[in-house]
Amino acid sequence: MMPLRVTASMVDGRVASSDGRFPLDSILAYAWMAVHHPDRVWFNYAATDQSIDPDLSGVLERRGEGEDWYWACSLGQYRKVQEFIEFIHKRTDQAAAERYIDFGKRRGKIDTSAGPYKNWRLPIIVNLIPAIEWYCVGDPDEVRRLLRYITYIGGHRGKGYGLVREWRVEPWPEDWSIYGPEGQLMRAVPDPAGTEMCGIRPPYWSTRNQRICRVPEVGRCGRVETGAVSAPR
Amino acid sequence: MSKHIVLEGRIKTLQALSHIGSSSGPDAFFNKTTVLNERLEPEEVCLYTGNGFRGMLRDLAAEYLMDKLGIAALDEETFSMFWEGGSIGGPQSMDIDKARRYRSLVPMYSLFGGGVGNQMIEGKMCMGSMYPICRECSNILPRRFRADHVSWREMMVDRSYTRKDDSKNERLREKYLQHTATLALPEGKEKGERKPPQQMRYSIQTLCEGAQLYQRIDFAWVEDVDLGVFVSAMRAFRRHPYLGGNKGKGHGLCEITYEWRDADSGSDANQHFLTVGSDLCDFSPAATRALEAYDDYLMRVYMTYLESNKTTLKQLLSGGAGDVA
Repeated sequence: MMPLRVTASMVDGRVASSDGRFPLDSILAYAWMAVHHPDRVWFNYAATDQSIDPDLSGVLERRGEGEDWYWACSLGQYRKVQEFIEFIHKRTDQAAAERYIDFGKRRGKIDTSAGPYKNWRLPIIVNLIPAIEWYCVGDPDEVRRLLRYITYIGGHRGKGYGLVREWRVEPWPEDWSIYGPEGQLMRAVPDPAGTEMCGIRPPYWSTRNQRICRVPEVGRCGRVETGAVSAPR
Repeated sequence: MSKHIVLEGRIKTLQALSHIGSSSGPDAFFNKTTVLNERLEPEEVCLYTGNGFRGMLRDLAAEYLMDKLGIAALDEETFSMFWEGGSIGGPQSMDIDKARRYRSLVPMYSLFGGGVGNQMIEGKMCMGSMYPICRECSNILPRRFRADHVSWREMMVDRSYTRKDDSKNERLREKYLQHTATLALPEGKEKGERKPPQQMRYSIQTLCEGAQLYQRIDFAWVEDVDLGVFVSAMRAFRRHPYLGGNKGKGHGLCEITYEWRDADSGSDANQHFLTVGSDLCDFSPAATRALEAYDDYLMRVYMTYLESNKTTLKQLLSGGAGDVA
C-alpha cells in the first residue's frame, strides 16, 4: 500500500451528478462487485447483510475506528468549468401501444399525464469537468485492475454521460486521502460535531453506512494540472 | 464468457436530420449542448442524444422480440417495461421477483435496463450521443474521425414549411364544406361569420444532408446473446432507416456503419461490425454470430419453458395472462 493519485480524463467533459461527489471507493466497489458478484449487480440483488459488502481490503487501506471505519481515499477533486441543466424525455410510443397492448374487456386508455405511464421531461444537472483527481492509499496494481472495468462515471451513464478517456494511477509523495496539502478535508469523515448525515463507505446508499460527518466542498477548489488530460486517440 | 465491447459509429445523413431541442414561436431549433473543446473550454455543439437513439433501439428490439416469439398482445405494465423501460415508484415487493425473471430470461431487458418498483435495474449498454464530425468536437472524436476544416454551424440548414387552412380554399370550400346557411350555429354566432384562417409558416433547424456524425457505444459484461439484442434492433432499423423527427416531411434518412473492438484486449484495432442504410445491409460475421446466438437463445428459452414448466415465455411476458402456445 502506498499513497496514490488517480486521474480520470473525461472525453466530452459532461458528467451528470446532482451533488458533485464522486468517491473513489464507490467506483472501485462497483467494479469489485461486478467482477466477484455479477449476479448481485445485474439482478440488483442488494441484500443488507455483511456478506454482500464489497471487500476492498487488498485494494485500499482501511482507516477509522470500530464501526466508523472507511477506506483511505478522497472524494473526486476537480475544476468545474460549467454547470447546466439538460433534459431527457420519455414518451409512450402510441403506434406500438395500439398494436401490442391487450386491454381485455377494459376501455383501451393509457394515462400519459400521470401514473406509471406518465410521459416526462426530466431535468438532469450536468457538470462540465475536464478531469477528476482522487488521492488514496492503496495497491496501484489492484486499483488499475479494477478501474479497467470502469468506462463511465456519474449518473445517466447509459445515456452517454461521464465517459472516461483514460485512467491514470501514479505514486504520490504524500497521503492526501483524508486531508489535503493545506490541511483541507478531502472526504467525509465521521464526526458527531459534523453537519451532514452521509455515507462513509460503499454501498453509500445503505443507511447502516451513514454517519454524521464533516464533509468537504468539492468542485470548486480541485486541482487539475496542465497536461493532466491526455490527447484523443 | 462475458466481455467488454466498444462500437464506434459513423452516421451519414442522406436527408436533413431534425432533432428539436428548443423552440421559439414557429421556429424550432436543433438540440445543442456544451462540451469541452481541445483547449478545455466550453464549446456549444449540436448533437443527437444517445437517449433518443437508445429509446428508438429499445422500441425496435421489443418489436423484434414480440415478432420472433409471435406475441400479439401484452398487458400495459409489460408493454411499459419493454418499450419504455418501466417506471419508478409504487410498491416493489411483487415487482422485484418479476424483474429478476426478466433480467435472467430476457436479454433485451438485461441490455437496456429499466425501472421496477422503487429500483433501477442497470443496463449493460452505455449509448453515447451522436456528435457532428467537425472541428468543435475535435476533443471528442478519435483521430481517424476528425475533420478540423468544417464547423457544425456550416452544416445547419433552416427548412421552412407552410401549413395552409384549406377551408379557405374557395374550390374545396364550395365542394366539400357544409354551407354556413345550413349550419346550426351556437347562440350569438351569426350565419355567414367567417373565422380567420388557421394557417402558419414555420421553420425547423436541421443538420444538412451529407453531414456525418460520430457515436460510441460501450457494452459491459456482455455475451453474444446480449450483443445480439443490439444487432436485432439494428436489423429492424434497416427496414426503416430514419433518425430524428419530421420523417413525414422528408427528414432523417441515414446510413450507419459501426466498427467494433474488444476492450478487454486493450487493442485499438477496429473491425467492421455492421452497416445499415437505405437499400444497404451488411452484417459482419461477428454481428451475424451475435444475432444467431440471440435467436437460438429465444427459441431455447421458449422450448425449455414449454417442456419443463408447462408454461411459456409468452406467459411470462404477458404477466401470466397470455395464452399457452
